[in-house]
Amino acid sequence: MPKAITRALTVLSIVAVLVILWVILRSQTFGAGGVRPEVAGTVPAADYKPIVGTYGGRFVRATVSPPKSFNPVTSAETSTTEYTGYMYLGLTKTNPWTAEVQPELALSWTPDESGLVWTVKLRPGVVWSDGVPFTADDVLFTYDTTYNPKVSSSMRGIISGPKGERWKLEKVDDLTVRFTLFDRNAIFPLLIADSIIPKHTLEAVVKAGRFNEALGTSSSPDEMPVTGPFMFDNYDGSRVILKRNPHFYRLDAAGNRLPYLDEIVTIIVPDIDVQTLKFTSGETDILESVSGKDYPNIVRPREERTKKRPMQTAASRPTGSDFTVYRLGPSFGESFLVLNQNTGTNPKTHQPYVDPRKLAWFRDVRFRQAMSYLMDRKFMADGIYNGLSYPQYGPMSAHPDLPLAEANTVRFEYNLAKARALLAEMGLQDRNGDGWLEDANGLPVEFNLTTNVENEPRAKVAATMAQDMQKVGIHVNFRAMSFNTLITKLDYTYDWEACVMSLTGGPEPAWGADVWKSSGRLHMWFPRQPKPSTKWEVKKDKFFRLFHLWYPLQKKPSTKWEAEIDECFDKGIAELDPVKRKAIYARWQEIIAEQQPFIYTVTPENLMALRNRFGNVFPAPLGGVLHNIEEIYVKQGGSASQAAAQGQR
Amino acid sequence: MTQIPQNVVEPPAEEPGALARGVPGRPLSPLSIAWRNLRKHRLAMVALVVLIIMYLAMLCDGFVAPYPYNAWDRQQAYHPAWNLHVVDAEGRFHLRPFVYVSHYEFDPYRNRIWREDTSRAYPLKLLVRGQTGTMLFGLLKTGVHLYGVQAPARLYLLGADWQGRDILSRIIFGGRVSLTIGIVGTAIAMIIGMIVGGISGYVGGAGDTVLQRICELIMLIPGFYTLMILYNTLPASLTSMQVYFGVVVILAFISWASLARVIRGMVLSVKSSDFVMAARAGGSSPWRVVTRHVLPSTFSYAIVAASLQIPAYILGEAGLSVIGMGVQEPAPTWGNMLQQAKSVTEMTFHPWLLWPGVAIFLTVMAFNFLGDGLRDALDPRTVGLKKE
Repeated sequence: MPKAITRALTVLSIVAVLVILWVILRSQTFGAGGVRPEVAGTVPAADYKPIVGTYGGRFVRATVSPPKSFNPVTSAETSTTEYTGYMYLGLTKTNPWTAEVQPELALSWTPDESGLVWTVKLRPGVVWSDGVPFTADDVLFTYDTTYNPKVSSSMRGIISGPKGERWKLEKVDDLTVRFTLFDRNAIFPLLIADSIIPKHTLEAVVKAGRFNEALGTSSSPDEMPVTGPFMFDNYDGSRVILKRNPHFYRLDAAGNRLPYLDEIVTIIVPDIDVQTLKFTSGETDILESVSGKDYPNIVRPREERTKKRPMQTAASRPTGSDFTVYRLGPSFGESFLVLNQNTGTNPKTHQPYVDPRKLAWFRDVRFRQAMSYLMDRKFMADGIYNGLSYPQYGPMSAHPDLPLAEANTVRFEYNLAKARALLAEMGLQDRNGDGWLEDANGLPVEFNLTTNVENEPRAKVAATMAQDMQKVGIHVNFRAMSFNTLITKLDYTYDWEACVMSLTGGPEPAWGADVWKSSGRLHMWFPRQPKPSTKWEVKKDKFFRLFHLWYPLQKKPSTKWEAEIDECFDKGIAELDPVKRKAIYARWQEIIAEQQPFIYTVTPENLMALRNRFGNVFPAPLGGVLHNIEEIYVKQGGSASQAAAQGQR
Repeated sequence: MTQIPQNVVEPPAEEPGALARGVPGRPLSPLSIAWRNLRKHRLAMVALVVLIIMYLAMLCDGFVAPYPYNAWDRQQAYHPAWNLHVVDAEGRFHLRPFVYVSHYEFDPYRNRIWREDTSRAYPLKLLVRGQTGTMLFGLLKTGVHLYGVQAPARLYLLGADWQGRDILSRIIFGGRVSLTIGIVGTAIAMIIGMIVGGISGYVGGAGDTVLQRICELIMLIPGFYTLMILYNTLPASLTSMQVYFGVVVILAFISWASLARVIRGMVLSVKSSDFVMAARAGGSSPWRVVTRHVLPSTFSYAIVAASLQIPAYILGEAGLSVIGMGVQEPAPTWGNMLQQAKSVTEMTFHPWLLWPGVAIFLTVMAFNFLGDGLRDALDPRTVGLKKE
């Protein structure tokens, strides 16, 4: 009976599937045999001694988001800068070990006594990739274009004053530019690290008002002369090819012109899993930003693939351990909890953005400190990042080498008892014996916690803290939402209560002014505060006080500590003396660590994997493994995946 | 789902096939005949038993599961599956299985190396007192569990997730959402579908056109995107129970239209059949015609459609949860548990996170087999004429 047979087969197949699953799920060891890749750390700056390499070869990498443009002035997204970083040089660059500012296209930059006028000497003998010399005119043109109101530039806001003041640039001679600033700016040498664009090809484009579309993905390579080690060659929608710039200014120790590599090929892939697969199968040479969660998978032993796959030629067969995994120390993408302290009201509904009862908690420093005590940073590191992350308590990255980092700030280590005590001090305690906290009126202590769903480690960080909050008796409704929905709430509608977020920081705090100053757009806990002295503010305050004496939450100017942070940033940017600057930013770190407007959790480790066939690799804590891309070359002999890469062409 | 067999739990006292053989006595009701036919469908019966076990476990979840769903132990993150032993460290066999306390350390490659402390064995016990959990959808509290081990040892039959929570317990508790979402959702969709389809089919004319165009509009919208958009409109302050109902309503909203269309088709065909004509000619009121003659004819289809639709809800919930939208942690559903197993690394290193997928697979298969069996059993053309 065929029907009976089909049924028997169905039952059998179910049983078979279950048995197979059971066997799989029971197996805890696998991949026995095979070779693990090596694991290495950074090298000390003193060991950075590049040797003379050999020419030729290509470097293949993969990225998730396709480039929207190759225009370094109009686009600041990673999808653009990951190419323009190799194409256009700035006047200065930062040291990959110490974050010090170093010469690039400029040889020196010196302020006068007032600190307002900086004389910048340019490097002689630099030519654009089409052979035209690089001069002071290119610098003047770049800043003219940046200030041009028709050009959509992200840099313009940073180098303009609050009233629209601009830097004045004068050409002293072909290789000297004098910058006259509108205020003292300690990070001027860092600000001029931005890409310089060529005047001789782009002047006509700017005049015609077409600069925003210039240097796009469909532009021809001839339109884009560069000063960097690599220049644009081709983009066909699936891969971006950068080729060697034969006119790059740097020479190696033997007098050979750098760079050594012929090409950098970037393959566009749909997601990070594919990126990882492309690397482990030997198709790409580097795997950037490995998550600690995926680390065991990257370093797991790999069999040397032998005769089992006839389709692969001997040359294209990747061997087990032909790459090294680099652990580069803390990254700059730490997750933190932020509580909404916005005292404003929604202009449409006239309702406060945050329930006044909850706002009173969020604005109470004891509540925020209690939340910091509830962060189980050890588990967040172990359970989420396999131990590959660093606990963080203050606003500077946990990196030991940062010049301005302050080590002696207060730390709120995981301690449920201290958290309970602080909450009890605020009057939030279990009043009816049900295990949950109530306020003085007997109302339960509850709030909504959110984060974005796309970032899995961050959602896990949020879930972990929610558990501990529940453990001390706070009703937390945790719900993740899509990134765009969340940003709308954070940036426009302000109708959120608690949120786990992260911001990409850097070694220089002054860059974070938009986050830390109370007027800042990214000042997440209470963005875009009007100046405390504004007349309108005071008037409204009095008006409300007349009629709503009982209403405790008036529009208040920044609380005192916020005003002090504003002051730190205003002073810090104008202070040119490095010792005084460090003291100013140390004070800022003290305030943040104590007041906890951002309740920091953990900073993941910066992990990368690179094939062993490259020479002159000197991983640096801040610069990663590719900071000296022009000196990296293909070692002779180890060309297995090189051949594979050539084969795909 | 349990309601359907409950109605027909008592098989007829008469010999099977009494009506067909024309034995005089009390005639068999259609339901009894259907039950008799269903019992011959072996796969459907197996499916029914599997489902009854699952639903019983779900109803008594706090008792059947060794731990409450949110009982975390961060020292036991990613504990591998099955830590039950019968042979101890000295090689002696014990009839009563036992577990050891275990802990992990990272090796240089960040793999968790588990070590068991063999100095003390914790035997598996039946009816043990443990952490207080809830059962019957949270109506009853229970501190007693069907089986378990004494703390500090923990029993991980199917392994632990990243917070050291027992996956088996979470699968059992996850049934609260995953096993009921289909029934509640289908019930809502059925009610709307039967009303709209019935009106549309029986009344006809302009009303029919309007209702059918509305159905088509709803069917036109790509389902999954509608789900995502509707999910984002739910307010943030909802508890997980409210989110659950939100998700059910959303799922029902996008699936009632296809039901309504099929019901309408059936009503149309039944409307012109002889027995309806006879009833109308006999002077029955439209209400009587619809309720006594037309809708009962569509009822067999409705039951089959319901049992075949339930898997779609289970899968819909899982899909929504896997992308992080749906009932949120820590409340477990099979979908949001599977979300943790999404990446290659998790599947390679912690494959026991895939167990909720097995639960989904079993349930969906069971409902499909049961639906198949019900279709054969309820088919009016075969009722009473089935082979002996």
